[in-house]
Amino acid sequence: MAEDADHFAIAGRRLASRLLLGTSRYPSPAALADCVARAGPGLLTVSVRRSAGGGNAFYELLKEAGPPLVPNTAGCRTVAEACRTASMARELLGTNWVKLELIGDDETQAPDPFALVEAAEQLLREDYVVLAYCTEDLALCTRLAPIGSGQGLNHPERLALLRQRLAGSVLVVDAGIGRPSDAAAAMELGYDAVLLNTAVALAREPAPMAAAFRAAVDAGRTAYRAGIMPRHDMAQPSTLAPDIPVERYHPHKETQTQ
Amino acid sequence: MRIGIAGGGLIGRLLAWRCAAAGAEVEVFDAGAAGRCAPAAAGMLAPVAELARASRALHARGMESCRLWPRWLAEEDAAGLCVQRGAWLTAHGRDRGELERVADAIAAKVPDPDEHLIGYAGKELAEMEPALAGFERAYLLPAEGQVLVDEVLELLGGAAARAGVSWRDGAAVEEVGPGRLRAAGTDKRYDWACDCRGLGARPAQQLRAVRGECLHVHCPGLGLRRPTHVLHPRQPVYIVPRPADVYVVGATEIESDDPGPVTVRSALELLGAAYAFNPLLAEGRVVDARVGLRPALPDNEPALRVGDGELALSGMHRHGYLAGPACVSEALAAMGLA
Repeated sequence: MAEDADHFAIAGRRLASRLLLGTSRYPSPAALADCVARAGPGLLTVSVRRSAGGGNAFYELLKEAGPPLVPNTAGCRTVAEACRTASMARELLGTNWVKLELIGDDETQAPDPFALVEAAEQLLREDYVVLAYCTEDLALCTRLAPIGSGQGLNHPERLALLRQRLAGSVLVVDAGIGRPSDAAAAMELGYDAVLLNTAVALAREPAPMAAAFRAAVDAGRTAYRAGIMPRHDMAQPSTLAPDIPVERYHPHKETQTQ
Repeated sequence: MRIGIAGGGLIGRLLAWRCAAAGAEVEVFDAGAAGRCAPAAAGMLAPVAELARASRALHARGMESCRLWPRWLAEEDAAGLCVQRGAWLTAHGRDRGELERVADAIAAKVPDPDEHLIGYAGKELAEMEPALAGFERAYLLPAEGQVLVDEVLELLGGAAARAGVSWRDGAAVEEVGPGRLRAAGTDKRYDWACDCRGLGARPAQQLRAVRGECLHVHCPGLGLRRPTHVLHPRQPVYIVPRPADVYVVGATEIESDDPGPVTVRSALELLGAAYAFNPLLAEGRVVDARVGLRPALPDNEPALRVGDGELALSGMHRHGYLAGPACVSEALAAMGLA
């Protein structure tokens, strides 16, 4: 039987891939373009805050890379600053999408959930499509639904709960992903997409790493849709061998009893 | 041989001087100092540290420039303007992961890592470079050094003039073609027309501006002897000693063609990093603040393009002092002047 089509959309817009890429810290725009070619990301997030409208040549290079550009509010600390950045980005890049980041702590870059909810509400009233960057807190994400994104895979059980409770929302795992296996694990939990940046940008060879993440996201998604077998307390042999005594599977037990 | 050069910044001066020294008749057209980014650089010669991000080709050009600078400057009795005591690569304790990541990336690319990346720690580090006593660990990059930017730019202008280069000030070049420069509506003919303009070469070349800001801090007593790269996941900085106890703290890299003065945010970041580097800098005086728009190609690396009677040296980005002499030397070879 053919598999059903597995489309991914945010706010009604179809995106070509469940792998989303940030655009900072690459060795050069050309290196970034190579990564985009290898990863085929659904969208690219881009920081606009520091260019203050003077970064047009860079944005043109990003546009040439192909995927839609989504501005972020990286580094913003207050609601007003984030909303001002979103508005500037809307004008600069001609999009009402924004990845909303509100930093609550400079050192860890942990988000400020209170300001985040306030800014998200304000931007939604102004017709933005808001991708809010937050921690995997259930109550917080419920307030932010329909769209949220989680941080890291430090608490897979909390991520699993979040996925289960917000089944109808688009949930993207963002930040803290270092290896392709992290991305695959997030996708296996049923997350809609993975957004990453430095894991590719700072790899010794970014373009092959971009390809590795593409494969990992595909693997994780395909596995999730295929239905991953539940975890058991004890390993089960995949083929039963009824003519071999059960004790043969427990050589250590035998050793201990002797 | 008659050579016309568009652009009188660092690359234009170097090329004009070396062409004239090789016996060519050289004329330089310079739009003026307004958009020049060379004075806003720190003059670091960092062929090894750059390997964390840049190509092996740039590393090779950098190593070649490290060899050419003192030789060429010696011809003008100015070898002292190139200082090669090595440089430091370090990070604060909590950014140690970043230091090891960068050191690993360099070690994977540099031909002889044990020779180019020497680890120092604790007492040994404090003895070698007392200004780094607050750091647990640093790598010495012995191949690296710096040129003294203001002094070198002035010297190159003088050396070009002494070698017989004619200088057309305030003359922006409108077009460079095969054996032809167009300035002030008039075509001039040469055997070779060389484009050494920075962002002035837009839109003919796919250049973009990367804004860089740096601060000069006067701080007697700091005593830092070698340029130092201080790594950080978001705000890496360098601290580069200049004569008379002045240190260049730089530099931002912002995708923007805004040439305006240093912003408060950038100053806060640079000075915050300086203070964290060594608290002695807290009592330092900010004596200068410079801004430059670096001309960058999509791969952020310098390019030499050679056609029929024309060549272009463009996209020096952060690498004018590092790659300039090697690129100029390649250009001379392309014109048969080597």
